[in-house]
Amino acid sequence: MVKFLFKELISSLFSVFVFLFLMFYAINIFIPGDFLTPLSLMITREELDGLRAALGANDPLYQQYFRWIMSVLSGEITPGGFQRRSSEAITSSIIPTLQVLIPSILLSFSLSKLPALKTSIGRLHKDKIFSDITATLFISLFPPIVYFLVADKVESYYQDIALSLKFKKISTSLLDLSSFQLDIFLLLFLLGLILIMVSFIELATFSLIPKLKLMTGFTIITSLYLYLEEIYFLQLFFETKVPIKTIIVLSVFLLGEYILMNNVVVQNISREPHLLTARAIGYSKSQIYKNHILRNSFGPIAYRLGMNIPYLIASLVIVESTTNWGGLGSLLYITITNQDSNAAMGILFLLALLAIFFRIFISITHKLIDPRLSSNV
Amino acid sequence: MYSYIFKSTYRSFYGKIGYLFLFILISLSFLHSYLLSSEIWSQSIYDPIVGFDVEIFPHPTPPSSTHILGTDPLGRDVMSMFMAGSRPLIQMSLFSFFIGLFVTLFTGTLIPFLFKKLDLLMREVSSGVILMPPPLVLLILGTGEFVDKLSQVWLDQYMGYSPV
Repeated sequence: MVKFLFKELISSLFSVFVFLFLMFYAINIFIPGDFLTPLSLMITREELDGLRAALGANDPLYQQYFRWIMSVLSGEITPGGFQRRSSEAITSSIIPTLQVLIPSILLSFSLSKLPALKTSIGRLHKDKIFSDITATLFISLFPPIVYFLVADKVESYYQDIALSLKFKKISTSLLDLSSFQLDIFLLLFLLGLILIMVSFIELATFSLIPKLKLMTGFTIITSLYLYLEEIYFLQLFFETKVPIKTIIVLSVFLLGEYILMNNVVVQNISREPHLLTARAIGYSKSQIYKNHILRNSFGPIAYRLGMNIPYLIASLVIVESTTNWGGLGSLLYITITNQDSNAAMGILFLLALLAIFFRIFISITHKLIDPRLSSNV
Repeated sequence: MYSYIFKSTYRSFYGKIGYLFLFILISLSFLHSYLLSSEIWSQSIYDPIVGFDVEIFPHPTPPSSTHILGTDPLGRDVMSMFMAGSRPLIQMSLFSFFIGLFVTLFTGTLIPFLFKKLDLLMREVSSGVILMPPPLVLLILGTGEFVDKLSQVWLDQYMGYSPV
């Protein structure tokens, strides 16, 4: 397992190195001006040229890239002397990104399994035309349109809840909590909410209670309620308004892709002979799904999820900019449109690290779940 | 080979739907050229770029008998713009598909065949390239003019272009 992990890490680091190299060149060539250009309004041209020479902005790009990599290794991800956004400002937006990314993946991945689960075992190998067309429709939906459809409804739900609870918003009530604590509580709260939401959707679809998900969701929410005072808890609940909108839009964006992926993989696996044998022996649908389809389908799905990471990053940029959620995606959009190349490289570096983390997590889970690979662990 | 590709794609339900959409897009493209050239649609009203219907005001207008999908804020017919857009859409899709196909087939088959060890490196490089999200590249490309960043010598010698 250690050897496997080491191999994965080296391979991913090399990919990230190539990715950052290409993006560094793309950003420095295609974005007009450089990170000192905005100063041209404040200082003279001679002063600007002097500053450029002193900070190495006129050096060849490979030298600047090497300097940037060395700076990243020493802990500073936005080097260059003149910083419009510091490393702290950028790294602090990682948790808001995770607050919407993890629940969105969880929600869309759970929902994407529903069409296959609703189909009888005998028909699994056939085309699922209705769900495929619905998935294509989801992919075609433009995020601002989804946001336009969703935002008002979410807003009215929150207003109804605030009225029913007779809640008066006290904006300073959360000041006692540090921003890190608040971010972590918000992440947990959102995870709990999404788990409960998924459980209720599964309950409505199959008339079966998904005990583990429901219990985990309720445990998280109850623990937060018991740990925090009521006013903090309510304030935390109302803080979830914008992330919930972002999660819904991002989930719709990802759902179509995941449904198509799941349908194709399940369709291919259900043609394999071991499934026919399981049906002939008389296994129940849930047994066949859990022991044969789910475990065997994880490999191809994990591979496609790994390939899908750039799509995930692009989705983050588009959706966060639409909903004005302050994660890495919207920050990247702002930095690129403001020609802040240093900050953009810093954000891309963090997104690449996030991609590595997801890739390694998917690979390890694949190795643990897939019976053909887990025997070698 | 072409008949094999056609038969294998046409066999599936999605293939049929795809061909139907392709047929609709190609038909719309030809129909648009015919309607404009035969003056059934007046150039001054239905031109997808400079057309403007002076009889209707204010724009945008909802769908009507004269403008099936209505008009946009600049007074252009939306149906005409939609039909005019089908030709570059097909051209760009086919062009990008074949370029992508040839480049990937070339690098994906020839390099491992000729240089076995280089294939390992290529695999890692391609997994780095895959990490680049296309919308992000589009966003970077859309930030503005960048020709001043390119080498002046290279532009003069190979492109015959001199930025002011």
